[in-house]
Amino acid sequence: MKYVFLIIPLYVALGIKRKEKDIAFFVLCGLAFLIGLFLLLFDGVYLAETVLGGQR
Amino acid sequence: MKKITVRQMLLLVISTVFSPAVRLFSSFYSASTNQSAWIAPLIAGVITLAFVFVLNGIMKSGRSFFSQAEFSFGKRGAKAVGAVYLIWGTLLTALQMRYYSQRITTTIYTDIGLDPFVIVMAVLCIFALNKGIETFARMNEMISALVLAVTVGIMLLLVREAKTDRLLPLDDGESVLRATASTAANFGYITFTLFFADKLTQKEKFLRKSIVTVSVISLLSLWLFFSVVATLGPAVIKKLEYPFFGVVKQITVGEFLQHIEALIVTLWIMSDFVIIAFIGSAMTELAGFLFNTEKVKQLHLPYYVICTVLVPFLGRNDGDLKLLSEKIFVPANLILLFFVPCVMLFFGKIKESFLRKKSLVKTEK
Repeated sequence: MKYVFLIIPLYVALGIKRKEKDIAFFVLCGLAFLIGLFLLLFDGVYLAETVLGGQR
Repeated sequence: MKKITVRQMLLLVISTVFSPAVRLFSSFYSASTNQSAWIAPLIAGVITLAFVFVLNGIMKSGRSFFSQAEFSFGKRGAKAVGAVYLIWGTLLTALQMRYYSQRITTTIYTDIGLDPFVIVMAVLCIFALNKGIETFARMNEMISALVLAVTVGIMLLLVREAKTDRLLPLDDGESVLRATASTAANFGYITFTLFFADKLTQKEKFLRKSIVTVSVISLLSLWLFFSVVATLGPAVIKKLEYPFFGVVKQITVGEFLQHIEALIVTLWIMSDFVIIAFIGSAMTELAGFLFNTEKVKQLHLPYYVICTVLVPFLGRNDGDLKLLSEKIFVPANLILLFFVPCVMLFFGKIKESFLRKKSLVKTEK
């Protein structure tokens, strides 16, 4: 699952060829890639731990 | 433009309720062994029924959720509110995907990791939504009928084992309050219907059909909780991870009807599919509003990629997820699905009356 974001560049490349896309598409793809990369780099970080911390 | 009826949209809400309702048992009884919480769907149902009038107020104004937000909070305010909804909705979709995969790997495929189930669900949602929410809503007409019929059938079989003395007394206010908050957070998904207001037909029937929908989901949840608590009792429920699954495993009718838990797993998957696709679709509509585009079809893939990568990031285990739901998502659901639409309608009404007075003064001059 952590590597799913790697399909984004491929999809963008193929998507541009097929149809005209607008800015929303590129922004969301960029976000998907960055979030995926961030979570891959910070592997082992969990939302429940980060937000709830001591309550767990 | 293709349109969907209010009835089709509300059937989506009915399908989404089954999966979280079944999951809620364990969180209801994790902290206490009091039986009072089974009454919660009734209270949550009454609250949601009152809330339906707020939704109808927005619907009657002829505006969609987004244009009402723009009218009430201004353009920038609406975008800011929309961004908060998008972040929360994305995490909510990821949470539902995690719950779905976790449940499958806990109950049937115990040797397999979460990955294949999450990826298959994401691909399925992208495929279904690319055909349009109209096609998805029509497909759901069959799913909701199946979910309702099988759930009612199973609960009728469960009634044989029920012992009503396990349901009383109703004396733990805190349990009831916690369970009501969780159930109301679940019923609040009805707000998402306003995200598709532009595509709806027969809007004049919204109030009547919404009241019927909320009544159906409340009674269904009440019956579900009633039958499981009366069959097992709170002390046993507390020990089981999926109490409803445990109860259904016990159902046998002679020799011809046994092991119907497989049917329940199928229903879970279908209900999970509807909830993940429904919230995902609402969020891509919202993303379309934030980026000023009507071509939301192109956004499905990047959106579900984000949700998929977020799935493992949510928590280490089932305990983390339950805590996350209880401490973060239930309050967030209550604020964003109930409170914000009320505020939005209130500000909208004030602005409308102000504008009316202003135009009256102008015409008098």
